[in-house]
Amino acid sequence: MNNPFIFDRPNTIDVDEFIKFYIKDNIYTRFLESTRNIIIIGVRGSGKTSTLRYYSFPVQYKNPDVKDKFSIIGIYIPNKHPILGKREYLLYENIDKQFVVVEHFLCINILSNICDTFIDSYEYLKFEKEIENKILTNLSYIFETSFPDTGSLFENLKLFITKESNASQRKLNNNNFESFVDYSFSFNNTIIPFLEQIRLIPSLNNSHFSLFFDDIQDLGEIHKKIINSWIAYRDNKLFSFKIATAEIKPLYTTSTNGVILEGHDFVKLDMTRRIFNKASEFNSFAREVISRRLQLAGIENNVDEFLPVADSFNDGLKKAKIKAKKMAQKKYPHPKGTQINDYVAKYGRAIFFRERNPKANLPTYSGIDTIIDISTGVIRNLLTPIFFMYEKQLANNKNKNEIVLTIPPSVQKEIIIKRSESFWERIRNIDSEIDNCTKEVALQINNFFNQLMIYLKKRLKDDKISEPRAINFIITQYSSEEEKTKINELINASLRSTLLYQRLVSHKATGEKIPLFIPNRLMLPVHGLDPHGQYSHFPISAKSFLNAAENNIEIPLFTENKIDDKQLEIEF
Amino acid sequence: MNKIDTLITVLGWEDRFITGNKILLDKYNINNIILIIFTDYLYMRNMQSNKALIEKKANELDIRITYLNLNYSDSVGNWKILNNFFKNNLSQSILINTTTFPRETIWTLLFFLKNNKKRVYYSYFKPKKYNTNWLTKNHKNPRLFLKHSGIFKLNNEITLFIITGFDKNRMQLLIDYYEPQNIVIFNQEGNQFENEKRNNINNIDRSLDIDIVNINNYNVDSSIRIINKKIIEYNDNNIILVSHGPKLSALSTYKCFLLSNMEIALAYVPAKDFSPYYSSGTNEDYIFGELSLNNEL
Repeated sequence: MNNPFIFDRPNTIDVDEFIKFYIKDNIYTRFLESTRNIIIIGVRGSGKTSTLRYYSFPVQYKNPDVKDKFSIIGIYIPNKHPILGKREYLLYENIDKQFVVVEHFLCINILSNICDTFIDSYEYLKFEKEIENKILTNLSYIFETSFPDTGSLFENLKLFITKESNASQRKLNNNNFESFVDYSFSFNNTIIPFLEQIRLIPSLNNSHFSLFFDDIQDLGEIHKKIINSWIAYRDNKLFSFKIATAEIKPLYTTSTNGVILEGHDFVKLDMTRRIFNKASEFNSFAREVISRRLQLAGIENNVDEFLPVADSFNDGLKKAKIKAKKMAQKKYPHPKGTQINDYVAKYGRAIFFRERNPKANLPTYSGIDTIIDISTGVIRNLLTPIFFMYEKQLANNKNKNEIVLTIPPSVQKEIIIKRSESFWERIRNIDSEIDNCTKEVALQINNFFNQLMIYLKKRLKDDKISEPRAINFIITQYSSEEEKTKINELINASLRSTLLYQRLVSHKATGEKIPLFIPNRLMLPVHGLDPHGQYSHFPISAKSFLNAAENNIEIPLFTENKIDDKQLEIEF
Repeated sequence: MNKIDTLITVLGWEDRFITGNKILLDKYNINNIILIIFTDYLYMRNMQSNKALIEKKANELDIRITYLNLNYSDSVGNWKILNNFFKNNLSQSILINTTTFPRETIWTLLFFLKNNKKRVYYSYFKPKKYNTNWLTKNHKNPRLFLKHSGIFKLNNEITLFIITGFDKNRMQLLIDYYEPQNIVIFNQEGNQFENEKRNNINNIDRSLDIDIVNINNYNVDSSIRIINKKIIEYNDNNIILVSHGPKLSALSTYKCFLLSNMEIALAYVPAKDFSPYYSSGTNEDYIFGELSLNNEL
């Protein structure tokens, strides 16, 4: 049977299958169902594409939970088509012409996807031939063209767009490519009249078109500026934009070098919020994702039975918690409120990880909670190890057609450790992987993360420290702009390669926004560290950060954080 | 063979730059050298001394050198410089010594030459040895080649044609970037330069559906036939053709682009860092041939 944990490209799965697999995350619903412009930020694999596709018209129409199928029409627009990678616009000396050419191809991509959406769902629209003819006549007048009469309304329109696409690509590659500018599509002269005309279809009379742009991070700067100019229209009756990007700091400038403003022109949705959140929220979402896949694969075990925790891991934790309780009772002979339980919760796991014999084998990392912790809040990071665990167990089975009912802890550990080792191999060769990363930067990244692991071990072993299992950090005490630039270069390269994730948090006291850095937890198992972490963080001074990166010097251990953890509040 | 009027070569830091060009200058009665210099790489070892050596050799043979300064990181600027240059400089017959050329510069050159030339001569010198550590680093995102971005059909699948090389990671970068539905890998035959061990076909994600084709990139004519046959087979796909193989594969890919009536796209993955010890020594038994710049086999 097929491995149920495959992380497929969500835009290639059949609609019915997609509805079966998709777990709706209600946090985003009111935004994605709104008529506002939204920018969705999320790292690779965080579920942006699935989320956009879920709200697209063909899925919403078939979704029994959706009552009003026509009020918001979501058009999914992928931006990976190579037509958007054409660079000939750079050869125009006149910058305005460059914008004309790029906008033309962006419009072709939008029109093509609107047509595809309605070709696939034509039967849902149910309208008379007379309306179809009227729309074609109107568009024929507006676009100064005649349409073939070979198929449905949207098939005819698609043929027209295909013809224009081919013709303009030829023009662009010809010697007289200046002629291109004489006839080109723009959002105003093409997309708006197009949407207005298809609103003549009775079921779409009052529809709002939500244009879902996916993966815009790979587009050129000029493409992004044009899209931002469209966002700046802010007339949201007919259309709005929902833009998904993997960029942590998206470009907000427009083609006229204006700026679109959060709150004013758009609402920002940060999918990375899962990455540093109170554990329960992502944990229950992740459990639901796995549980749904087990159910669809006909595996009757629940998530905990399918991915059981090793006895040695459980027993070790239990013993450590008993020890922590004894320590707490000694420390608080007259405990108040939840003092004892708080102490056990804080130090129990730390005692288990710190008191392991350094020569002993690594802990048997296992159980759904551990796998969720290691995923660092990214769905792809959650499914991929389970995919390989399933494959391994299938290979271990004598009968290859037998369903895998449970993944033994030993198999879970083996895959987790292997993936953790490969992750470190990636870190070692990071300069080969990311765009614009020099050998020096790569070496410094390696130094920093190696020192971070040494620091986390020291933290775990220090019995005086208040949050021994904290994994996340902030950078403090910048002394110069030069220092900041150097650190930013290392941080940005680490963010691009998902060695690190980032969230913006704010000081309760000052309101100042500070980036909180979350290391990818896949780096922890091979070092015998606890991937569960703590809902906390520690500061690293800018000087210590650079010392670790440039000179491979240990990060000093602060016995007490200089910044009070409670002063930091997560910004949503 | 006809007399060769002009040799076009790119100043390089490898041994084979100077040894190879000296052999060509001694053998063919060349009048002019067009020496392309990537000024942003002039700092690399041996660049100044190799420049002095080629100038000395040209001087001895009374050959005129025309310098063409380009900037590796400015592909659009280079395009404009080469465009202006070849508008006014037309030689009778041209030999391109591809040995130290960046692949996209070979393509740019062929684009401008094909407007006025029916054919060009080419040469290639293998080194004795490639660096066993790394060759190129700091790769940028893949790019479609200017004016050669093909005619993409809106709803057709993407098929990535990759001629493999020794650089790890470039292939995965391409696959991640374009997310193709199909991949055709042209895998260099033989075990020269420990090819079987170093060729990065073993590094790719084998869960993808990949069509693997053996090819000898050192034989331009046979490579053209093999690649072209596959282009015909994948005719209804949006084909993006990328070459990471020996520099001669830039010639075969260009010819295949012409054969497709310019409908397929050429792409490349630029690198910023090149190993100063990229290769050593020169195999003096060089490859020489003639390439017709039309859309006929």
